[in-house]
Amino acid sequence: MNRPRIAITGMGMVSALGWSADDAWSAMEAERSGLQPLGLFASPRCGHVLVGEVRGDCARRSGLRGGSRSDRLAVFAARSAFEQAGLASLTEDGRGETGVVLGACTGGMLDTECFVEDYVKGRKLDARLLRHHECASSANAIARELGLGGFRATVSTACSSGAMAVAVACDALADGEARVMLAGGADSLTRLTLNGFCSLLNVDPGGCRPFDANRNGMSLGEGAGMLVLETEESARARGARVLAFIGGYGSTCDAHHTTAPAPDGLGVFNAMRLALESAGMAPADVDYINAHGTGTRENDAAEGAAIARMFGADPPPVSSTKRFFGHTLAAAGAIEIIVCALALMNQKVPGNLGMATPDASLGFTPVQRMAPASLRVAMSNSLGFGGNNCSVIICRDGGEGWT
Amino acid sequence: MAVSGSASNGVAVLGCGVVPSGIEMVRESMLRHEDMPAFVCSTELCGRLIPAATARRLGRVHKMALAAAKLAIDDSGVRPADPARVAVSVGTGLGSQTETADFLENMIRRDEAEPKPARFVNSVHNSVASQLAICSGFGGENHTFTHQSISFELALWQAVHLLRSGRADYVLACGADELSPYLLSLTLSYRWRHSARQAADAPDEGKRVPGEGYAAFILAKAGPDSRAARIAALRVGPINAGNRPILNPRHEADFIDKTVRTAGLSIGEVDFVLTGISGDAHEDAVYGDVLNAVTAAAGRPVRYGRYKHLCGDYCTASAFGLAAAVRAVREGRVPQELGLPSNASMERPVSNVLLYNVSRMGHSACLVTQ
Repeated sequence: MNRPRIAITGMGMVSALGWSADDAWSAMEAERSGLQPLGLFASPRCGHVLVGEVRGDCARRSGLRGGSRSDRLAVFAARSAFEQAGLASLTEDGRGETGVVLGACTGGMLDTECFVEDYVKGRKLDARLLRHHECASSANAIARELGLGGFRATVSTACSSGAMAVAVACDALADGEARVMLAGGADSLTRLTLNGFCSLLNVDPGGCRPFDANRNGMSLGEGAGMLVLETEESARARGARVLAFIGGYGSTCDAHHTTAPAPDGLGVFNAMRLALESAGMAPADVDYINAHGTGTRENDAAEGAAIARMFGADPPPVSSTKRFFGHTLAAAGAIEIIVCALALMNQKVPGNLGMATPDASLGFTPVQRMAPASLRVAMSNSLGFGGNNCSVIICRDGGEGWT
Repeated sequence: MAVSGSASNGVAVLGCGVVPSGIEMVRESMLRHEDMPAFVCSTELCGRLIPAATARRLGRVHKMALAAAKLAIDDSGVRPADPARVAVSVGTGLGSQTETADFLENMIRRDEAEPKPARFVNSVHNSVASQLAICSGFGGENHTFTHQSISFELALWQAVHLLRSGRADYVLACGADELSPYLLSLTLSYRWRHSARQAADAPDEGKRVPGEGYAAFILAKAGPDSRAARIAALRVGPINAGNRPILNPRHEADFIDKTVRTAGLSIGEVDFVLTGISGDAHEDAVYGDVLNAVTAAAGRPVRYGRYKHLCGDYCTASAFGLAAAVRAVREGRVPQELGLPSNASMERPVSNVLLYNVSRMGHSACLVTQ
């Protein structure tokens, strides 16, 4: 099967670092973390931990009066990407052939939690709280708000969902399902996920320190990242500005444990290997790795082992950007693909905020501070519960969006 | 998405596994404390197929999906030489509602004091797909789609893509959705009551019955000599941009026609159309209009039937429908229970069966051939 080159022609992001990809990049340049005390809801047990919470009026920004918080984050990011890609004036027919693939884990859980609380406490139940419960609600909201009638899917592979959604969208473009696809991920903070990860003793209350020798857990975040993807032929035909390309992707499953990664990192290694194969590249072609790097001992050790095995004693610059955003779950993979594209466009490697003492056992030292670099190819890794691994190659060759 | 009959031999369905269900009375929802009939799967099979040590920490949806997968693997007789080349692709409309609800209720009741981490882990939508991988050792791509009533079809679409593109040698595809008071509260209670009102107005039309189901398939790229039932064409997607699309029978007939043509066939060569007719008067009327349009295009009456009266209605019921279509093609005849009383004889031999489902969430057409 011949696979077309997939161009990125639009990017939209909302996160704890602000309401645009540019906001996020500026904060990363200033080494400013988005982690703050939780303000979205009360949590007796977990309220003290730092989280990457989106600040501002989601309803007003998204223009979505109804819908869940996840829906609003998703619609805002999708609309931003759509406009950057120059698709705002797309005809009705064109919109009818445009699809959406969204990664989502929490959906409308924030409202569902209110319903369950009413139920547990014997209060009057309001079924309207469940109206946007399903993960598919956000993709449907995007389609409805932007008038998109093409292929539509919701992918839910835990923390790799955003990256897997991009991969599925590329598959759909290769199959001719749509001319243009909006792809990415969106998730809001919820009591379920905050308490869930805290119950697994996976959260560092003071904020994550990816790849630090003394790392002690992750930080949760929320947000959305959306990309406009289309074949290079489509982008050129309509004169769109190409920001970067999806060079390839690889995906595997550890088949090892429901939450813990395989310690040897073999699944991640194979995902990176398959991504490079699909891009027709060798490890030496990679100029930057945006690691999943959650800050848990097990994740960083397994991913580190895989990177060391793949790239040997002299790996390209590596960094995790989780300390900036928090772990935004289904949005993380898409946000980090956007970070990679921004790195290529700005010719700078983002720093690994939060790491004070490098972990000597990793075999490499992540880039601590943002630094200029000559970048042509970046790799973004996403790992999820269930040993779900996805590695995406982002490249600038043929693109014209960089500065 | 189309699997072209001329360009390839399609995708072979090497094995099927379905957890059987029967009608029981269940609590309708958290909103109403009345009982209602629903199709419920027996856990007895899980006890025989799933080791107790494995089942101990799993939720209902996980155990049932594992049982369906075991049946499918056994039915296929496949023992993959390289498990890393076997992918898993799961469709689940709502994942593990019971585990999610248990975690949430406990969290709220105990003011977050004594959380249940195992419940949290099981609440994640892709926990079914990951358990299938862990228990089978399948280390290939691992997909989970959760898009309402087209969740399973999207999982099937991905499976076909993986096989066609050579990214997997085999795919374990699965549809899994459990019945729970939460599920009925979440998405169904309005529809059931709406349906019940309609049933009262038109008692002969029967009544939509909710259900749960777990069906799994072992798929592989079909070789030229393959004698297995094949998925020769598959199309899936939303109806249009809106959440409340207006279904147009002629557009649906066109959708079906395009699906059949990608396999190099005409609608007149389809022996049987297996539909998602469910007992909901509004949706069933749409099926009727679509079938009339298809009949007009075919130039002869199209034999059609249904399957949801055997499994109930739930997000991934189409997985049960696919198993029924595969069975019909394997046996070369339509089982009597799939037919409608008004249909012509079910005794004619069949080799091409079209599975067609439509709802306001989306539509799909899957052509299964010998």
